Amino acid sequence: MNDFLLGALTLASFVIGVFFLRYWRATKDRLFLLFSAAFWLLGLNWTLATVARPLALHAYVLRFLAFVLIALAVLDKNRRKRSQR
Amino acid sequence: MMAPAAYALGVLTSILCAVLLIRSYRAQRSRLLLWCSLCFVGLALNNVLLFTDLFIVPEVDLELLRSATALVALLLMLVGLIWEES
Amino acid sequence: MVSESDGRLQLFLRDLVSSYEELEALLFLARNADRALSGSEVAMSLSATAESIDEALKSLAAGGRLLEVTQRSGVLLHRYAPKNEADRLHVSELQQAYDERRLSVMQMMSTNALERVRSAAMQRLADAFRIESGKK
Repeated sequence: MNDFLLGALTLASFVIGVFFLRYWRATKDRLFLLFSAAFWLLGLNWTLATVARPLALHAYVLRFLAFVLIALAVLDKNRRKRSQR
Repeated sequence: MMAPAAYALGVLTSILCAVLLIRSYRAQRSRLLLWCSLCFVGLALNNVLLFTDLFIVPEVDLELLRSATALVALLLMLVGLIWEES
Repeated sequence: MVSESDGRLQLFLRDLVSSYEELEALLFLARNADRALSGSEVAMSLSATAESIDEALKSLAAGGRLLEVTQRSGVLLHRYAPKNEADRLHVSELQQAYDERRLSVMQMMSTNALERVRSAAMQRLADAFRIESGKK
């Protein structure tokens, strides 16, 4: 059952990443590029959790990186605001 | 094996995003913001569960619950993104 | 169905013309390219309200590429004066398309409007992540 959920999670994160990639193309806002990468990393994390169970612990590195990217995106968005736009 | 601090980052980041998105949604009522808010709330919950699963109740396996919350969160975002295309 | 020239026309419209009033005003000024006209003169010829035409002319002028705006006794006058040749060509293509196949021009504008709404929503999403509350 969990494998099913993980499979669905992988697909969902991949598609969400694609949407954010499109949003980046449309708005040129770096935040979307970072979010896209973050969601793809999450998808990779969930793929590994299913496909290579022994690596699940290491997959958490990917999850960590994903949230680092998200945090960076938020920081970047707030830093640039003060100098631009 | 990564320190609890690393997982805490996930919790804090997702909570921050959820808060920012909810605040924006309440100000602007954009539906896209609503879907994304809900997703990050779910991700925050998922991160909290992960932290709990690994460090607070390691004897209990919360894997199914974690996966379920994450999936609901992502599906909400996905539905929102697709719906707002029209 | 969309030809390459239509594609370019759609992009031109997307960047410079965002309402039907702007479209009509632009084409009207282009047809009377030797004259500098006030908002109310244009409005009267187009049977539109002065406010909507003033708004449209302001928007067209803001692009900086199509109109020359001068002032005489407190009244703003607009003259069709495209800064580059490509724009001039696009406007004459636009005039032709408008005369011969108005529906496709309208459809182009609708598609652009939809895309503008979508882009606005996306931008709002990105802006939501700004921590300070001084928004937009």
